[in-house]
Amino acid sequence: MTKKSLHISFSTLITKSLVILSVGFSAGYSNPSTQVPTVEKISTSPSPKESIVVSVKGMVCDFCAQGLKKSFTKKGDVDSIHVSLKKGLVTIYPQTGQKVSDDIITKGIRDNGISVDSIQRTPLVETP
Amino acid sequence: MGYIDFMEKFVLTLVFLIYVTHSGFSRAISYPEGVTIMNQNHHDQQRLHVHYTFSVERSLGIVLHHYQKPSLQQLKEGFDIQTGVQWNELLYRRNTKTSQTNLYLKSLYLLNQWGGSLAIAGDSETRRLFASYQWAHDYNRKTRGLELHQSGRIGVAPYIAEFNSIHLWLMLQVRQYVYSSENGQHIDWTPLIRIFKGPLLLEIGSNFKNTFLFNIVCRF
Repeated sequence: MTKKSLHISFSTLITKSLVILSVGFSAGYSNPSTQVPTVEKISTSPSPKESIVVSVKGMVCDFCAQGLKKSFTKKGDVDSIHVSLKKGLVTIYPQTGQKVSDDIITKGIRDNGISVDSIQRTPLVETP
Repeated sequence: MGYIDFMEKFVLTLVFLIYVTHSGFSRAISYPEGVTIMNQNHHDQQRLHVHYTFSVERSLGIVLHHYQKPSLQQLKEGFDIQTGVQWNELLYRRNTKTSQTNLYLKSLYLLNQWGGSLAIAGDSETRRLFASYQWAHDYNRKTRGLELHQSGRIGVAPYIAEFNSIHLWLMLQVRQYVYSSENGQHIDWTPLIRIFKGPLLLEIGSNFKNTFLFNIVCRF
């Protein structure tokens, strides 16, 4: 392949990629000024009995939070996880009847390169 | 579905995966067990880097690097494409409630010719501000090409976005290349926009004179 044809094929690839990406981004766009903090609920069981609010350090970008969400939702004893980048909080909802210890939470977060500041557990009030 | 339709969709999907499936322009290490695809397109070179993150301290990946600038020694010798294996190591990380600071060591071992590269890269980021710097030293015995390059970036986020929203950064990049074989150097400044949402990151930049930049990162 000549240099010129290689250059042209790269330009074509870039153009097609831009089109694909622009469609993808426009489909997922939401106005930042009207956003409500995202709640990623992956519910697999009846309502959990407690929420564990972890104040973290170093969670400054979406990629960090994606990693946290991914590793915790893989754990069988976690029902769902909520992330607030603005507040630097990770809220974990264990499966009903499951105990998720502070050590497991701290290790799971540290393994993702984030530091734990504090862990606070709150029992959830069941509604009839 | 006709064969041509199928082939067109297949090729477009492949292009999408290659380009979308991410950088000095994004962090060298992802989250544990994560796969990252980084594609950098500058006016003078294209680079595809796919790496797997073993732990938050290290990642290993393959690199395909195409030098387009004709003044580079590699082109004169016919070596315009380099393939290699890149090992990234996190040397230091400091987390605060509002920031993260990292220091990385990156080493590249070429597979299709004798040579490699060693780089030190650092970045510091808050939700509002970003700064990064990389110093790299390349060596290629065949062409006796010794190349030093350093690059830096500063950036600001015009708004603070929540998790899974669209994040926007306005950045300025400067790169300096020093070619020992030609006793020359090259500096370029490139303003750019970084947009990312979820696992996808896109950067587009140009100084409207002689440089353009188009980078894509995707983390799985």
